[in-house]
Amino acid sequence: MEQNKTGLIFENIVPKNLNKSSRKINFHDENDIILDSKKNEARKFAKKINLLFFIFSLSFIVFISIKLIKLSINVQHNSISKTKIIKIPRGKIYDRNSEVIATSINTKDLYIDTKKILNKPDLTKRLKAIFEKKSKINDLLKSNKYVLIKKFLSPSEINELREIGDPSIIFQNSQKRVYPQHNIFSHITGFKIEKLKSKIEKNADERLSFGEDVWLTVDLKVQNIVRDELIKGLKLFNAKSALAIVMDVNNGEIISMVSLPDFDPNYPKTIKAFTENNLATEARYEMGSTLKMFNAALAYEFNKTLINKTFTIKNGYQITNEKIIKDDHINLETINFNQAFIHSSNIASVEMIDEIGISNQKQLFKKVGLTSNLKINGLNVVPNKEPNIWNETSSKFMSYGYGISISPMSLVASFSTLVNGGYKINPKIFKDHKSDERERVLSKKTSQKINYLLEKIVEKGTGKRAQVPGLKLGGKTGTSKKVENGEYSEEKVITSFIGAFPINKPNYLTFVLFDEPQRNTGISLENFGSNTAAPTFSKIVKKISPILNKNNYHRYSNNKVSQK
Amino acid sequence: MKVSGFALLLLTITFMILTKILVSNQENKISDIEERIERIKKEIDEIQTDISYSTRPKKLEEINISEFGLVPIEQKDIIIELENYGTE
Repeated sequence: MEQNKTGLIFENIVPKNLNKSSRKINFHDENDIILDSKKNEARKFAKKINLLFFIFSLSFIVFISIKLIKLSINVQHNSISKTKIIKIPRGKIYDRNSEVIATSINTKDLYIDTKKILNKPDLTKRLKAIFEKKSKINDLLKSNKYVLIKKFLSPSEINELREIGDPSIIFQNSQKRVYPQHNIFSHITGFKIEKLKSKIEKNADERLSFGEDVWLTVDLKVQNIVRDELIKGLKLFNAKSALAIVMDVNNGEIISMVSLPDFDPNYPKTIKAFTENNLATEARYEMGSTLKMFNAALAYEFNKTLINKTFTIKNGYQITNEKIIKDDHINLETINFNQAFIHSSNIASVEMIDEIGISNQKQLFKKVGLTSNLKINGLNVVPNKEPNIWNETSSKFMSYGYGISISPMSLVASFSTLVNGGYKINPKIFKDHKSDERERVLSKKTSQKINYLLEKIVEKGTGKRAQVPGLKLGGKTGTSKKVENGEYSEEKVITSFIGAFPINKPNYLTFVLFDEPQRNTGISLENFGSNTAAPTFSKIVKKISPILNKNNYHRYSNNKVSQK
Repeated sequence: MKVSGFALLLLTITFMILTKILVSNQENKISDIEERIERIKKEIDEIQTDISYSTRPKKLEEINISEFGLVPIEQKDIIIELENYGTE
């Protein structure tokens, strides 16, 4: 025991007054000091371990965070690159019953990387064996580039090329526009080959190129029948060209539109310049007698006294100093108002316009749209050509269909107004294109009276051969001489027939036209609308009317597209 | 306290990772399904085009002539509706 200088042993010292509240007094000795130093060492070690662990955790968190950020950036990058790669397929074109008119199919194009060719003579020989254009292959392989050999390879060509196994052969995915109905809709859809487009393919390109499908108002079955009968007529009458239009007179939907000669849009390189024109909208004609029905409308609207007038036709009519018009085809000396239309009298037409006046004629032509430019969304329509000077003489010529050139579509649109109760309508080809509000420009009574006249024309007049068993219809024939070297030809004519059915409340109008028919189905050697276009009209209508009635096309059906 | 805090941190990180994996997995599945839809659409398009080619009117006419000999319905074959007999 260690003693201090006083000789006291501290272990024996005890506080005199032990107070319960007093704190415990600790005394440190050597052991305590050793213990403390060990504790300090342990604490330092723990701190170091903690620090290491903290650093490790932090690194782990940072690592994970970086990984996560990288992952999200990669996902974004991938999605961007995916959207870049995806090529929107061109939209399809359907008929009103969702039959495919135009679509795109996936094909492959053949490229050769000339730097990678293993055996040039062998490759050239084998390529020549596969493809038709042999000389071109030699030229292409001479270049030191990545060359396109052929677009739109067929499956058999792809198989044969794969068998060659040369590393220079490269297949590039491609899309080809195809038209499964071949010629049937050629003048409506037009064609698309690479950047070259025409007709609907061109006019609806904005929608189609963004992958939007387009529904048209045309009907495949009706179109096929119309085309078939028109081809038969074209051959039978040995005509230069022909056209036909079937339209709903109440909402302007074009059910069928055929122009002959036509072409196969699958092979655009074979199209000849003349066949590319849609004669129904891109050509205009002096229509002849079909325009006489507008005289009837003029009489009913402006001069009702004409209805009771008798016209003397036996002596002809001096229309100009040089020209006398005659009605040789009518074996009567005088005719009444109705007979003037039933027998299609030129003299009566001129006499009518004499009394009606130019201003009324101008007014009515404007109202029904004969003198305004017809615009149809999706179709190219040529403007009608009025006479340079609209005077008394030109007015008389126009009364029987000369002096004014009209596109067939424009005639059909204006004629619709005569038969549909007097409403002006605008033809349309896109099913989803809403019809404009109908404006009445003629009285209902005028329209009814015109329908009565049309019915009589088919019943006992020039349109007899347009009759269809089981269907009441009405219509008007038209024949006009063509201009050749500045004069009206005696041989070359345009013959036409325009008819509405059912005539008591027309839903459809059908127009048929032949350009320069050389033969006819009548006894007479001369070609008229009555012995060329009228019989073709009859053949068309007797086949299409059951289809049209069954489907009730005449009802407004704009919602049909959205349901699809 | 330190231990529980650390455990919570680990739990959060684990949860984050699991969520991310789950989301990525779902996204992959969606893109797979989209690809399949696209593929099926293409197949439908091809079939539709084939059908259009094989059922085009000219082809049907040929089949009818060689196999069935059916005659198309004409207006005279249909019972005429009364509305067609309008007043004269």
